[in-house]
Amino acid sequence: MTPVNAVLVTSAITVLIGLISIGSPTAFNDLLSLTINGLYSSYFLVCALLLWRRCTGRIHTNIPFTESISNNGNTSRGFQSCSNLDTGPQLVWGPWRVPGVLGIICNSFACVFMVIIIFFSFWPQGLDPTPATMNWSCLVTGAVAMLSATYYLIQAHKSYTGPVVDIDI
Amino acid sequence: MSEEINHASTVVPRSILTSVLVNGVLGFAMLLAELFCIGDTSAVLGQQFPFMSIFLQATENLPSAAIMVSVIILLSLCSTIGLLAAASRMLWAFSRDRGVPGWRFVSKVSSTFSCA
Repeated sequence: MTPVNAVLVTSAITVLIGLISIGSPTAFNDLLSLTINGLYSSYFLVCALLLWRRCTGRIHTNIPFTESISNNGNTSRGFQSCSNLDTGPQLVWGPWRVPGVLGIICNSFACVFMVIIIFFSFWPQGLDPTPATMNWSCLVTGAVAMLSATYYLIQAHKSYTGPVVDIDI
Repeated sequence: MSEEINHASTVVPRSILTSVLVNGVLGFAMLLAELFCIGDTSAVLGQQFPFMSIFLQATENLPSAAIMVSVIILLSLCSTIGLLAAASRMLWAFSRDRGVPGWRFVSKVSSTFSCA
């Protein structure tokens, strides 16, 4: 069951963006740094949030079956009697993880590595950049971030209510 | 992409680690061999693609350098296909959660094109 429409949309966008690099060689370098920015910033979001949840202990090892069924609606649960921060589905560890302090060290090393790469991917090729030799990937990344935030505030907060959670039946 | 794989909880981590090990070892060996063959660093550094001029300096023959560069272009094509698969699955997963404009079109799947 392959997502054919998603592959076609992704291919069309990739072809259109790749046609920009025929126009100018500096646009090609901007595209390379834009791919690095996009990938690493999206991985960094996930990694940083996992580090935060891992350090505050909000990821549980197992939840009994009946409570997990009642948790999948947006109801506050009876067995979790601390704050009301966790309405909705609860985070549970999968079958394997790096446990304890070693997992925190591995996760924070990944976050630091990604911050360094994201920082250096925005820099231009050489000293004293002119508008022709400047790295314009900061413009595209900022524009995508602002457009996504605007779209969320206008439309998507009605339709996007968090990830779709699978229930084991 | 793990949803389209049988026995994904063992197959996916094994394939990730195998690809990192194989690509890392072979890529590092290729990097050392290529940097060892630099003859004239000042002619190499000013280029748009320095590895092409390294091949040209090492072989001093334009058709053989073109063949070596075409091998690298073929490898780039294969890695682009994998990257396209990963990016399209990310778009599909986010459109399944109804977060993307046009999510009704993007979230459709087809059983005629399945690999499993």
